[in-house]
Amino acid sequence: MTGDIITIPPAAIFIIGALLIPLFKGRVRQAYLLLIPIVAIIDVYLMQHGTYWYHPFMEYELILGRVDLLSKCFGYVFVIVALAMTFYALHVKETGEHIAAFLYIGSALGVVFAGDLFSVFIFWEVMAWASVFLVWYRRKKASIDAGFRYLIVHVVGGVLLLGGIILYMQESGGSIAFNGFDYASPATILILLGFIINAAVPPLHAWLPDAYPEATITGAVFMTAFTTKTAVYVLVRSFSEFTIDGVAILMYLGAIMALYGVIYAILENNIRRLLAYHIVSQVGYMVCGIGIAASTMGVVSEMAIDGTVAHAFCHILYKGLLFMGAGAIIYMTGKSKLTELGGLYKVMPLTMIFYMIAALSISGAPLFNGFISKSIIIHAAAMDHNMLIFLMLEVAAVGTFLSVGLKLPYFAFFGKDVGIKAKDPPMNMLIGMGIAAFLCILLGVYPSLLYNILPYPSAVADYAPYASGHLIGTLQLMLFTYAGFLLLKKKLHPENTISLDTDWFYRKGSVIFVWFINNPLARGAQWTADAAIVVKNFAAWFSKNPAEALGIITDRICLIILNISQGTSLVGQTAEDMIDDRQRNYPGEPVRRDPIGVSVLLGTFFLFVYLIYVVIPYLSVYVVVILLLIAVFTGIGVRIKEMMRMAG
Amino acid sequence: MWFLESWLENPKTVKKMIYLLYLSLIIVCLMGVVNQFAPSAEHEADVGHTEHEAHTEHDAVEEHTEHAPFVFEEIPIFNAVFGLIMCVILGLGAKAYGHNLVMKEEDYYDR
Repeated sequence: MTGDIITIPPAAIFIIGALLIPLFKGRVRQAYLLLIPIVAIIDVYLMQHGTYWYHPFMEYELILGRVDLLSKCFGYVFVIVALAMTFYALHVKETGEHIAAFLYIGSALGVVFAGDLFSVFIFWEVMAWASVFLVWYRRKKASIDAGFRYLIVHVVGGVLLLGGIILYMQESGGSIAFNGFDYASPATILILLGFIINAAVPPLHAWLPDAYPEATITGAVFMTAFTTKTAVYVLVRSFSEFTIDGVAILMYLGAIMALYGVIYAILENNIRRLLAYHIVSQVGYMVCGIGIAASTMGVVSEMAIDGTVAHAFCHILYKGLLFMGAGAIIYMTGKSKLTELGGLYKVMPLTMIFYMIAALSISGAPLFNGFISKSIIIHAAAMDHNMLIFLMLEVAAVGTFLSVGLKLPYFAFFGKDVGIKAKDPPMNMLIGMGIAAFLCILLGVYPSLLYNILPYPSAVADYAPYASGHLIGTLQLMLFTYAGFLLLKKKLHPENTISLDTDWFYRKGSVIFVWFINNPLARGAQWTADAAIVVKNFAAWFSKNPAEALGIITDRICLIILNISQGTSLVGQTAEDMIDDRQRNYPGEPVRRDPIGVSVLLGTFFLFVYLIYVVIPYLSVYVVVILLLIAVFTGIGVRIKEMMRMAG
Repeated sequence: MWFLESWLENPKTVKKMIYLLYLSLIIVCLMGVVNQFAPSAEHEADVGHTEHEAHTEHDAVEEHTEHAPFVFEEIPIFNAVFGLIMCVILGLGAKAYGHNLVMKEEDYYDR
């Protein structure tokens, strides 16, 4: 690091800042909470381009400061939006929630400025663990459950990422450099999977619309900004040249994603889940932009990357604002379903205005920031002459305006008045919304403010979003979508349902899994335990008098096989009775009273066995087997003869 | 906000707003037509060197800021028709998909 001004990693500001939060109370805490993002904004502004903050770790070097246009652009929007969101969350009393939020923001900034794969992984995991508390702090059963599902998915993603990193280290001879991966191999595909789980690419996206609507009011606002956008950042950083057999899969995945989120949003009734599906859709534009960059060369590729970064920047602002608006509705009315809302513009006019600013931004209305960022990606698709992608993205734009810009506000703020008593949220929430709304409009009116900090400023230098053709086309698209909405208003009425998504597989799958554990697996375990007890009991019984026990068992077997029970003995007993007697008297006299000759015989026998044992290595297998068979049969024969004699 | 309320809840205002929407629909279509057949001066000056010859990267950018790369974009009201049709298809298609496949009772996962 050079220069006179000393900067520190912005991640450290938030992470150390988070740990000091419990020291403050009341007004002082609020001031302290606001101070941290402000310090971070100044810090990011002063950070100079270059690579610094090396930290030795085992035999590797962690790099915490890789600062270039790309990472700085994401750094800017993260710290700016952190300030707006901290304002919004200022009234929250729960200390832990603030700590979780700041750890989460700090680790997201850590990923953005990380220069090696280990740091990326560590911050990646901290991000997942910190953010899950933003879900759990809602303290409802649905939130606890959703939080656990969220965590499971992210832990799986983290393991895939770690596996990929280790394989990559083997491939590259121990390098942990976090740069572009332009070829497909097991390592890069595992890393890609780890990244696209966080980017919520279908079918790995279901954690997002599952968990975000269950988070706390303010927690959900934080979550919209960081998890998916750090994923976009790492994808831009490392997969913007990635193709499999020349096919830029991210382009197609992104376009499908954009449409997928739109379709589910149309079906949704819960306002925050509707907006969560639009995160999937909007991140689809960004993933698609990365794919376009991978499938093209030169200025078009650079433009696609600029579009992706610009859209991520704008998306963080307007999506945060949308969730702030929806959160304000839930906070003030206690209701989150469109079927229960209506006519709120009368009681929450400021919330309605802020929400509409964000809704017009996400819909790409002129003068709002979505217009100047989304269009770059669509424009790059057009310059690539990729009609399919171009049309898919345009359809997604129509669907976005339909759900977020028309359906949600119509049924929540206008429509049938259900007479909810509420008012606008507290001042701090309004200030947070105001900051985000101001930035949405500012960037829409002065796009060059954003265009100048993009990774390739020259690629978008000539791009004019307000060219007459584009402006008129957008107005046509939006106004006729509005007309279409009015036509379909009855059909699009929200319904009191939930929509099944790919989380069905693990939510219903887990039910089957639990059944499998409770039934076959638990029973199997019981059987093993029972069998073990039977064996133990038998061994205990057997060891009391092995010779007698062996005699009883052999006699019983012989009796059953040879069926020699008809005759009677001298004392008028059947053979069965005799054996039963022996078993009743078991263990009886543990020592056998035999004539001395028997002992001599046994001694001779064991000596003979020992002889065979010594000789065995020199005998062939067959001889040994035959000898054994002879011994067994002789024994059985002697015994049978004795029994026949006894049975008379 | 009582004044806005009484104004917005008035059926006359609603009617006026619907007419305003119709008017704006017509206006944007006309604007599209005008834009198509009366290109700006800057655009005309541009036409000379973008006639599919000098396809260097930088020219490509300039060309595409105004020129539509796809045939259908030459239709002046393409976006209007596209928006309306896609809105209807998306709305009805999504609802059909939902009703037939994925929409379930709210306690589906708790049962």
